Amino acid sequence: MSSLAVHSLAVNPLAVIWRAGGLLFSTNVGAVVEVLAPVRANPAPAVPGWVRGLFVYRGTIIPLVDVAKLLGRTSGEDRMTNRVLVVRSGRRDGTGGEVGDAGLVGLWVESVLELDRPEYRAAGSHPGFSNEASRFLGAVAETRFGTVQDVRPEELFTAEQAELLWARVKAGAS
Amino acid sequence: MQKPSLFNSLSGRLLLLGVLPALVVIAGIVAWSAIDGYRSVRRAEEKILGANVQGAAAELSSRNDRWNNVAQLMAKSQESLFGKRAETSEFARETTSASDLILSSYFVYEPNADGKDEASLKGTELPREAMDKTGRFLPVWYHVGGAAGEVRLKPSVGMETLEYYVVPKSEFAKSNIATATLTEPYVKENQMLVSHVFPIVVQGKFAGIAGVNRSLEILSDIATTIKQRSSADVFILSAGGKFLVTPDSAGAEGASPMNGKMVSETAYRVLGAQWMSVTAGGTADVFESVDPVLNEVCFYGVERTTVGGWTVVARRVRADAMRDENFMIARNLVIGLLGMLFVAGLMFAVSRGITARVRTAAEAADRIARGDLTQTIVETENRDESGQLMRSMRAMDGNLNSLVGNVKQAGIRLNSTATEIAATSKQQEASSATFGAASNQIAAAVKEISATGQDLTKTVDSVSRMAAETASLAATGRTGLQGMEGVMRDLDGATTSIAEKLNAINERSQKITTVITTITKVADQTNILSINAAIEAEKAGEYGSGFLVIAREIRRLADQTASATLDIEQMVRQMQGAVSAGVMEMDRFSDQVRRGVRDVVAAGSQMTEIIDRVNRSTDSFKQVNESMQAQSEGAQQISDAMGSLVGNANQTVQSAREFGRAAADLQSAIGLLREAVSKFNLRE
Repeated sequence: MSSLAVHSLAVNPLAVIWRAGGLLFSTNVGAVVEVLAPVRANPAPAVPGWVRGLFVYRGTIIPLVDVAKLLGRTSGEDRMTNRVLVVRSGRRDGTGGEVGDAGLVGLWVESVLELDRPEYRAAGSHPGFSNEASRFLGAVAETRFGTVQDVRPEELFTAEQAELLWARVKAGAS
Repeated sequence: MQKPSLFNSLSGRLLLLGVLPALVVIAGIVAWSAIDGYRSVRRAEEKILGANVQGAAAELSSRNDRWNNVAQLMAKSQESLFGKRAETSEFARETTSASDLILSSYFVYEPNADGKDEASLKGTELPREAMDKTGRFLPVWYHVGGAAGEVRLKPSVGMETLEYYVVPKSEFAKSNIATATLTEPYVKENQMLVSHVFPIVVQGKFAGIAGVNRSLEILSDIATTIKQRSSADVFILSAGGKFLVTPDSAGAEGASPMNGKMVSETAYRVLGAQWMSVTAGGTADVFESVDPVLNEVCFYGVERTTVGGWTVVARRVRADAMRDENFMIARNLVIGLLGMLFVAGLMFAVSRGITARVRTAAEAADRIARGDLTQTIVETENRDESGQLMRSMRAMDGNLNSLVGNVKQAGIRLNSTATEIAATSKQQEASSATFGAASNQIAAAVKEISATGQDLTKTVDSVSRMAAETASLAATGRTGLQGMEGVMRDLDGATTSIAEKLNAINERSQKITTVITTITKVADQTNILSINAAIEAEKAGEYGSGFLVIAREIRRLADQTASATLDIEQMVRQMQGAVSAGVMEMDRFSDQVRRGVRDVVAAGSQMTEIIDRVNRSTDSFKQVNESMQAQSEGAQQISDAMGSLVGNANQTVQSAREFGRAAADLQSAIGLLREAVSKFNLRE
């Protein structure tokens, strides 16, 4: 493992490998602020199903999004192995100003498997589908856990979704 | 004695068996000779009629043939004389003059057959009567006023229509062979005649005919000859079915009204068809049929001529033919009947004598059968079997008289003796029977006592034995129960101790679960911590690379810890489940054991009580048994003695009874004898 790890270290950036809705994804650690044990979120009324609610992260109220539901898949029961990835979405609000703490958002996933350096450019890898619905999905790579697909948090939400999320955060903050 | 009917009487049977067979035989002989006579008459008639018609047919054939030859000779003359008309005419004239049997002879040429018709008309060589208006040559020379008269010439007529010319011409045209033609008979000037014609052939062509006509009166002579020879009437029919001769014309009276008529127009049309179907040659046909004119059964002999195809029939009335035969049958019948009457008279005379003697013997036998021996049978002088029978009967009657007298006297004496014996034996039997009955009653009573005593002894014995066995079994059971009680108590103690230990295990395992939960949580936190540490290390770039490795190791340790605790947790859970089930099972088992102990204790005490009681009763059973045995033996001895006594009494009764039965048999036999003898009445 050590030689491959050294080689990988030199070539590919480190990514968090996680599972949601039965699928494997990876996210560059650069976009990940912290990995949390499952947190209790305050449920918010009149929001889409993929918004679990709001929770306080280091003194700041941020939204908690169920990635499985956001991807159009069913979310399993809550367990001790569930994790929350706190990421920077990089979204700005409608006025162009930064929202929250650079658009921090909690992603509710089934589990975090490992930290690894997937070889996205390796032979046999797939650049990934790219349409409006899956714009945040990046390249595909083969790892020891199976096929993983890169998720770019900054592309995760559309303008309307971002508006919905951050408007409520602002309201919640004020 | 009843007189038998005629059929059953001796004389009746003799007559029946003697006369009836003779009658049958005579009738058979008469019938046989009648049938045989009829057959021989029929055969004779067949022969006579057949020979006559065959002869007649042969003669007619030869005559026809002869006249055909004359016509053929005339036609042959034309081989040299054809065209020489004067010579030819002269030839015909000479032929006619030559025989009285010829009515006429003639030549007829085809028109201008020799090319001289015209020359003849102009010339004077030939008389005009030898030709027609055209000069055609056709001279006919005929006798004037019958066969013996003058000969004259006339021209022939009717060549186009009449059979004598048309038939030979057409026949030759058909076959190209010259043959003689015999025409159907026809009547001319009250005479029946026929024409014999032969065609004239010149250079293979039909040039005319030559022929002669002759009378058929000669046929009547043939018929007359046959009539005289065999008393048969004669019919002759032409080939075309025309009557030439019929029986009426066969006599001297002259022509019959039927002559010249077609058979189909007369009463003989059915019979005629049968006659005409006969073929020529071979033997003549003879058959029987009813004549439609005479209305009598007749024999008919039929034959056909080979030349001309005429049919000759000879008829004989059957009654005439059979007259002699019928007389013979009547004579035989009369002789047979007379002979039979003679035999019957003779048999009657013989049977009367025998019957009289046999009847006397039968009457005497009947009297003896009734038991009447008072009359004597008369003596007879006759030497035959019936006389012998009478003498034997007389001897038998005398012997029976003396025998029956002796038997009667002996019977009276025997009867009084038998009566005495029977009375004595009855008395003896009655006293023996009374003794036997009394003995029997005693013996039965004693036997009953003995049997009852033995049964009782056996019962007491088996009860005693069973009581002893029960006591022994109960004792064994009590010992077993006592042992079981101890074991049960030990078991109860052990289960209680096990249950307590299981409870302790349960408590400990719950504590382990708490510890495991804590470890799991720590491992989980460690895992998250290591991930975040790695993320931070990555972000720190090269400075954090060393820490990245440490973070990974920590994460692996945390994962292993989590996995191990998961296993432990699972094992503890299983153990807890098993322990809980064990505790419950032990509780239930402990309860059962306690109940068991209680039951065993109760059973043990009951058992002890039973044993005591049984032991007490065994002694009293023994005493009863001994006394019963003694009583039974005494009764048995009495019973044996009574048994032999009863046997003796029974034997005595049996003997007396048999004796009595013999005396009764003797008496009844004497009775029967006296009754039988009393039927006979003896002479004084």
